[in-house]
Amino acid sequence: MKQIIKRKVFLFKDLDKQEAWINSFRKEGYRFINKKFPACFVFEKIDDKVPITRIDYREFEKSSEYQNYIQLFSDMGWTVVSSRKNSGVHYFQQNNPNSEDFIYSNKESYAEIYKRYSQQALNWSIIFLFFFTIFSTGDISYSLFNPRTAFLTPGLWEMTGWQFWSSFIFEIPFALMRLLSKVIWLVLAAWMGFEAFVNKRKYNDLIHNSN
Amino acid sequence: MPRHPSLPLTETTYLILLSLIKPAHGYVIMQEVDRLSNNNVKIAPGTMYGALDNLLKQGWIKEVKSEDKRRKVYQITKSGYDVIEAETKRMHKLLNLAEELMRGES
Repeated sequence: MKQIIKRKVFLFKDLDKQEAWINSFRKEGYRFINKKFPACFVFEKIDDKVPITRIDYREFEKSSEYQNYIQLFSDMGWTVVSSRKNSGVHYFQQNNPNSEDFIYSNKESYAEIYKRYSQQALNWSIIFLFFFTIFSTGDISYSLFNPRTAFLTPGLWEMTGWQFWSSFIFEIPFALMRLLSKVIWLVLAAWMGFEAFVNKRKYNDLIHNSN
Repeated sequence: MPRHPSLPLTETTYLILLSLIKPAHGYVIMQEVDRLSNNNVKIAPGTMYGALDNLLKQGWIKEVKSEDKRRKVYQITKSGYDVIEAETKRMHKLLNLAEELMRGES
C-alpha cells in the first residue's frame, strides 16, 4: 500500500477548511489515514472509492466517556481514523464510500464545535498569560521593556570602543535567549486569544445564518 | 399555570426524551427517533452526542447501569418527564385551538 505524507499548516485550526482539504484528495484515490504532529497528514492510495472524512472537536475528562463517544460514532457507521482522548480534534470516516453524510444533522449543533474550540483556546490563552506573569516578575534582574538589563556582563555599559563591542556582540545570543524565553509566553497567549476570537466569530456567524 | 421555562422544545429534544422513557443507548435512541418520526428526523452522531450531553447537564436524563461496558445507557428523569408532559399539554392546546379556528373558517 502506497502512503504519502502531505503537509499543510492550518493557522486557526480551520476545521472546515481542513475537512475540505482532506476530502479534496478523494478524487485522486487518496484516503486519509492519520494526522501526525505537526501539520502532517498521512494518506494512502487505494483503488476503491474513497470514503468521506469529517472532523469533530470535543474534550473528554474520563476515558469511559471518550470510549462511549467513539462507540456511538462507530454504531452509527463512522470509523474513527485519527483521534486520542486528549487530542480535541477527532477525524472520522463514513463506512459507506458513496455517502456524503455529515456528523451533525443541524446547524446549531454543528456550530457548537467552534464554540467549544473557542472556549478551549481562551483557557490556553489564560494559562500562557499566567506563565508570562510568573516569568516576568520575581527575582529576575532583566526586564522585557528594558532590553539592556538582559546583558549580564559586569560593567558592560561603561566599557568603550573595541572592548565594549566585543563583549556586547558576544552576549547578544544569550541576551536574546533570556528575552525570548519571556516573550514566547506572551506570543502564545496572544495567539490563543486570537484563535478564541476567530472561532467565536465563526460560531456567531453560523448561528446567525441558521434562520 | 405559568409555562415551563424551557418550552417549546425542539423536535429532536422532544423525540429523544420520548424515546428515553425506556432505557437506551445512543444508537437505539437514533433508531427510535427515526421510527417515531416516520423516518423524518435522522440524528447524526455528533448531534446525538451533544444532545445527550446537554440533557444530562440539564438533569432531564440520567445514566443508568448496564452490562455494556462500551456504551452508556440513559433514561429520562422525573424533571425530564415533567418537561415532556408540559410540552405535550402545550401542543395539545395549540392543536385544539387550531382545529377550532379552522373548523370555524370553513
